Amino acid sequence: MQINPDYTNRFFDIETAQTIVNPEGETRLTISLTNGQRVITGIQKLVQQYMIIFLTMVGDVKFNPEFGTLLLTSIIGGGVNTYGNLFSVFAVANLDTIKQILDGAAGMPDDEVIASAELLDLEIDTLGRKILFRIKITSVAGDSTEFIMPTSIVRS
Amino acid sequence: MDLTLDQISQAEVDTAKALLVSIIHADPQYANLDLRPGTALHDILLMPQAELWALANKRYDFIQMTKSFKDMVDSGQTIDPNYVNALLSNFNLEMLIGTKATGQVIIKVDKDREYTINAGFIFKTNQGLKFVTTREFSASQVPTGEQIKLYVSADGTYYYFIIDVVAENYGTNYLIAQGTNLDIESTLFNFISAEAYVTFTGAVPSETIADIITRLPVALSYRSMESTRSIEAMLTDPSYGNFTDIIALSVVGAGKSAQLRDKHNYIGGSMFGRVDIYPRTFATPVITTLLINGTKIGTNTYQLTITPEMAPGFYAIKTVTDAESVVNPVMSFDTLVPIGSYPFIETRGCIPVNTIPHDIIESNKLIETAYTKYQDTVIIVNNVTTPPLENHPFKVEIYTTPRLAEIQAYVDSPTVKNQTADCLVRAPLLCLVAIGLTVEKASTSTVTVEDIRNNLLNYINAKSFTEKLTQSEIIGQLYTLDIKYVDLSNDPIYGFRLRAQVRGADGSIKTMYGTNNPNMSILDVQDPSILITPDTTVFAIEPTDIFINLR
Repeated sequence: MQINPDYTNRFFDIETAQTIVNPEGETRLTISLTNGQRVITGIQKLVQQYMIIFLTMVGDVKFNPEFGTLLLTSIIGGGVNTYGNLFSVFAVANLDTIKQILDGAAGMPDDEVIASAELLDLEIDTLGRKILFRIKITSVAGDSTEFIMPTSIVRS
Repeated sequence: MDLTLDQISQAEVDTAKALLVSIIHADPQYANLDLRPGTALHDILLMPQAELWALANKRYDFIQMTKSFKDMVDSGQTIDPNYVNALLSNFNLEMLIGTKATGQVIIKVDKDREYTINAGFIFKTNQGLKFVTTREFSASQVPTGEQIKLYVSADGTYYYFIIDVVAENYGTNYLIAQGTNLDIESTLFNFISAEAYVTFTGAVPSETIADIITRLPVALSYRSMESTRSIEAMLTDPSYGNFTDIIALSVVGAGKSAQLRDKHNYIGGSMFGRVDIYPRTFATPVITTLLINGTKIGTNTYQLTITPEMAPGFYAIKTVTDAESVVNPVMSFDTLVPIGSYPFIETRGCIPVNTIPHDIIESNKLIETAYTKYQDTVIIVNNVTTPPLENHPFKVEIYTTPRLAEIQAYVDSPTVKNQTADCLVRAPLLCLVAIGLTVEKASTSTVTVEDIRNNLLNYINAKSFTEKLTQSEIIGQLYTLDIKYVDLSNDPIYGFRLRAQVRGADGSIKTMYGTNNPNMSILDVQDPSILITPDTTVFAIEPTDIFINLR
């Protein structure tokens, strides 16, 4: 992943996934607005935004009920019956995520505007009750990054 | 106010969020924070604050709104009476809470024994309206202490007793008619049946905030027995008379044509200092039922007496029947005699004039004591064909003005009495109205006959000391409901029919018909010499006198 240290005239977010050591199972994120929190811009921020939207269930945010995707809703609700079905569900959620990123992208620099998101691989761990998505994101500026997105399929 | 996020709208949160973003970005130190949806800053910093801000704004707006009665009305919200009372406390006032319908139930049983009805005993109509007892009743043929009488029916086949009940909830739909069948929810051995012994009365809606705005000028006026407004304030203020059930008041003093007592001089001119007070302490006409033992004075003829203490200042007798009778006399469009009542002759009088602490002239005492606590009445009942006993129990239903005697006592009390004026309290004359109409509702409408009846009931019973009740008013009132058409023809069955009658102080009945003259006006029958003027008369209607065809 390419790090862009130049924050001049850029909008930045705080980094949330730094406490995830192992991308498996459930992990509690520790976020602080004071000491020790990193800030991010560029494609790192784009990846984080993608993850937040992609993994939020539509209807979960009270005052933004259309925010998120139906991915987890479909999986948890038993709507994904086959391996192949998971790809189609991903495709819909991916499109929803990209659309929502682009809806708020006006005025953002090119390396923070998504051009594409591609599913490279996915692994289903039935015993561990999780799915690992390996995704490649490319920005309008042309830089890209790959990352693994762990998804617990049990909702507590 | 217990506000939760469920009471906050999306738009309110969006507004708060936009404002917060502009405030944060206005500070150069935070101008570069990315606060778009999907960022961590948006989720953990902006949104919680926006929601709390929207909540605080709503709370602030609500508190602001509860500082003004006009804003409360404009908001269209249902306001907790505690907030209204908090604001009214600045004026030493309180919101007037409505009263529930009350009445009496006749319970028929098949054995002669003692019966006990506990407090909370429930009666229910076929429509599910519930009525409860508020205290314990014990009935016996030979009552002792606070026991009530267990009567034997005229034909000796059953026994009966009569108890008071109150509606379970507020609302004029609880004004059930006399004779309405009632089931019991609790157990009563030897029970045969139960019915409404009288037409229920007394359901007064709670005061609205609009009512308070109307009441405030009176409530804040100077307290004394000097002017119409200050007398009304004096009587209704909880710190003074506390007659909060007065919903309208007319003060007939010098210059008013119905003021007869200030002309007791040889030229017959007004000399001031005499005031007649007409308080309306009811919405729907209140009917009081008296059980009076009649004395036989001739073949099938009995005499009854209503003393001043039994029904102070009562207006008119509605029916005289056998004690156990349950009839439902309605104002017919064809006859003045209530169906189901014995024919009777009423002769009014009064206690000796020299014992009345008010200016009453002997030569006109019948009129001048009419509808006051000083009148009395002798009733001659004819055609009584039940067993020829020397004494026979009768049920006498009369129109009364609740608390009239209390109000008279209050204005006569030394701390209240105006030493320069003679204030006499009279029951308002009831201009009793009957309406027949045919209404066609809109195809999508869910309006019911009961809705229409309650609407008209509330409207007409709020008309006090005014000249007219017009057809156009009633039509306008009907169109506040979801209806399409009102038949205004003169058709004797389906057309619009309006009738009213008012009893003069001399016992004469004046009748008005609205069929050909839709503007039914008190002025048409006005006669100050028998106290009929718009200043003394209120319009009133009972639920049973509204006849509706709904298509």
